[in-house]
Amino acid sequence: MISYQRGYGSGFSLPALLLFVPLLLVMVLALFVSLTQGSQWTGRYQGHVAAEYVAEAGAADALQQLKAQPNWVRGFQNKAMIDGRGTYTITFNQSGSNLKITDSINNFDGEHPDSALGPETVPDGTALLSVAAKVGAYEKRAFFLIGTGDPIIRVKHALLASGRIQLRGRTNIRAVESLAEEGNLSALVQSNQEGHGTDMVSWNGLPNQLDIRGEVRSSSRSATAVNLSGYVPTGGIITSAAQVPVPPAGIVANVYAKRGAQPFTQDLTTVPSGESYRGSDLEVHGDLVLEGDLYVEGNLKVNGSITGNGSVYVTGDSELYGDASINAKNRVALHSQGHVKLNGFDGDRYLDARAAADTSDADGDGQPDFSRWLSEARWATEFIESEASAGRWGVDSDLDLALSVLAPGLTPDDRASQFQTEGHATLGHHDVGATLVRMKERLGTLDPGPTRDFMIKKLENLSELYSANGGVLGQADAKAFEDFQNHGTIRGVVEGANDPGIGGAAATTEELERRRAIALNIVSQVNTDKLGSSYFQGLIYTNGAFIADNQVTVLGAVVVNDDGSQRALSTSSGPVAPGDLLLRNGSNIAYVKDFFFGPQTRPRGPRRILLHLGDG
Amino acid sequence: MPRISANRAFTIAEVMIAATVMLMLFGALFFICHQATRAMLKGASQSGMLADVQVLGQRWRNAVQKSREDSLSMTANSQAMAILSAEDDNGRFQYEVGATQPRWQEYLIFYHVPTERLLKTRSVSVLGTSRELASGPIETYASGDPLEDYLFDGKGVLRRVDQLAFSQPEPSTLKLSLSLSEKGSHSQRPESLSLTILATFRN
Repeated sequence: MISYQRGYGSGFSLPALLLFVPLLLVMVLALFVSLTQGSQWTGRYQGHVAAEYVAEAGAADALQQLKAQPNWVRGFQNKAMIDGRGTYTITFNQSGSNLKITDSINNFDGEHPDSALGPETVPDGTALLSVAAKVGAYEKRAFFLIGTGDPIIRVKHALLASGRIQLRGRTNIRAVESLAEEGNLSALVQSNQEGHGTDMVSWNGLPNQLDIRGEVRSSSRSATAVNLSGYVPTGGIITSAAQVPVPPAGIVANVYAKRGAQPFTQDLTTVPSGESYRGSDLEVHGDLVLEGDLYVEGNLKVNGSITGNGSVYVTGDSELYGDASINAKNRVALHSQGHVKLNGFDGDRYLDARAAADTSDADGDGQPDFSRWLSEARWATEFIESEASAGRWGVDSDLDLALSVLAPGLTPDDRASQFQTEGHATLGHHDVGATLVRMKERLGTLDPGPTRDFMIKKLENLSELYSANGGVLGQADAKAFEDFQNHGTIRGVVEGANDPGIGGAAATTEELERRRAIALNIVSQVNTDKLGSSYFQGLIYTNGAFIADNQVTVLGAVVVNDDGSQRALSTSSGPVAPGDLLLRNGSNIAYVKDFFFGPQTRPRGPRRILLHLGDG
Repeated sequence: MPRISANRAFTIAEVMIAATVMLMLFGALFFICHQATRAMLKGASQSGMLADVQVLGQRWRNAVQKSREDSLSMTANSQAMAILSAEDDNGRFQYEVGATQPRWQEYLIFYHVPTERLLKTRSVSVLGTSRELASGPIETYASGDPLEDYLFDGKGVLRRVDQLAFSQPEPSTLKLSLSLSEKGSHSQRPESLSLTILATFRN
């Protein structure tokens, strides 16, 4: 019985157990593997997505910081999200060296253009953010470019060229803080072309016709890289100079990106506020006035000047003349992918020709009237600048009396010279008054033409600059400067700086000094012996060649940067290579720092993410 | 009373009952084992397909994010799309510094070949052309050929794709809907996976 029971109960449960247990184990294992794999994929995906959003949050946080504080470089170190899930890190490296892909760069100041992506990869007025996000074990790095999208080119050079700089004839180059403040700076002129080229910066002309108040540099290692025919600028000459990075303007890309902007038709001469686009060549008869930005996919020809405040982008060549007047508010940035020709009107040659041709002698002094007016006007403009530079201002000063040689002093019809009435025999026989008005009136009797019309406008503008405020212009001295401040006009500025308080409350000493600094700056731009000079105010940037002719005065800067996209420019005197800068026939350059680093150069519009550069 | 021997054999009924029980047990065991194996294989298959889709999806989303909407082209049957890419051969995003605009390098084309059950990609370089700086759909590039003419010589990036459709549910957003299937080795019924991926143009 016992053995039966033993035999019956053994031998089945064990095999069954041995059979089931491995199977169960396999099943559990399969389930575990399947669940684990699915869980891993899900977790990985979730972590990846979460890290992506944390990186976005980090960029948004940094954007807020940069909006509040443009020079913000503190960054974040493992800053936790509000719900605690995830952290982000942003590390700035503003040193310019040892740059890593993990470094963020703040280049809102235009001083930090380099990043780990390469030199000049962070545009002026932007910040490159490298955001590291971490959620649990998952990490992600994302890159963003922050800015306003309002491209800025800040230059420190009056003339900067990737090729040769050729100066011909009477040339003045200087630099000022602004048109409204006292302060002369050292002007910088640089040719960026390396190698052993000679005459990279050259000048030829008559003795004493070159005046460079600053420094001339060439990146060429040749000892004769700078050949100014023996002239030495006030700041000296430097060869083997380090190349200056030329900020790219992205002209073609900028124009293409604006194809959807409001169309600018041929009949318009004023660019409305905002952005306007022209899809073909544009020729403007008269001045092109900027109230906004213009993008031209083609060539631009302006049979006058470009004035106002705004930018022009041209994918082709640009040609313009110049403005007859200075307006302190004018600030134009002309970006041309092709060549730029800035033609003046050769006003002085025109005036000299008139003086030779006009032999009428109404006062019977034996000297033709026009010739005398012209020589008196030239003397007076030079004399006034000289007196103003020496600080010899004041009521009934020589400067004050010399104003009447140029423009009316008592009433609009006054043509008398107070030099004569005050009897300044020691300074010569300058007894003819209002010469600018007299010449303007005489030119008005001639047949119209571009140069005549330009000169009439120019003489009228100059006459207003030197006219008396109270009796002639019908305004208080203070009003002249109020208009200068608000509208950039220069009517009555010289007399207003000389006679404080006439036609209004007396100016304080500080105010008087400010006015005199403004007046001196303006008078200096008139440029004494160049009554016929035309003006361009702002920046000229070209990827081709630049040629200025016929007494052109540029208040601002010229940047010529050959990017390989242009062929040589054919001229009557031979081809001019892309990257070359040619100033001939008496051109003047006055670098105005305020145009590039002043309060008005701050980027327009809110800062935002301009480009999503991807993830790492 | 008959003596019961300890060595007595089982009756036929006992054997049959035992065999039936054993068969039932083995049957249940086989069923469970089969189901477990199928579940494991199905899980592995689904995981594999999901992983493939995730890799492709991430790549597609990245490409869309860094591209620009005005470069988008889609075929009428929604089986192919093309967008511009600013990434160079090293995967570095190229941009025109002065204009803070992407400097486009190539068109990225994604298209489905139903007969091969493949999602393929190919690229068309735009280097040296004005398209580098001017975004636009592939139909306006070069000779102006329609997108359909570019759908060849692609490289397979996702297998087992039965159905695929690109669409634009709203501005700046792209949708990729796809269904994949894989025939299981232990089953006549294929394992399938359907997914929808959304991506937004960021540039």
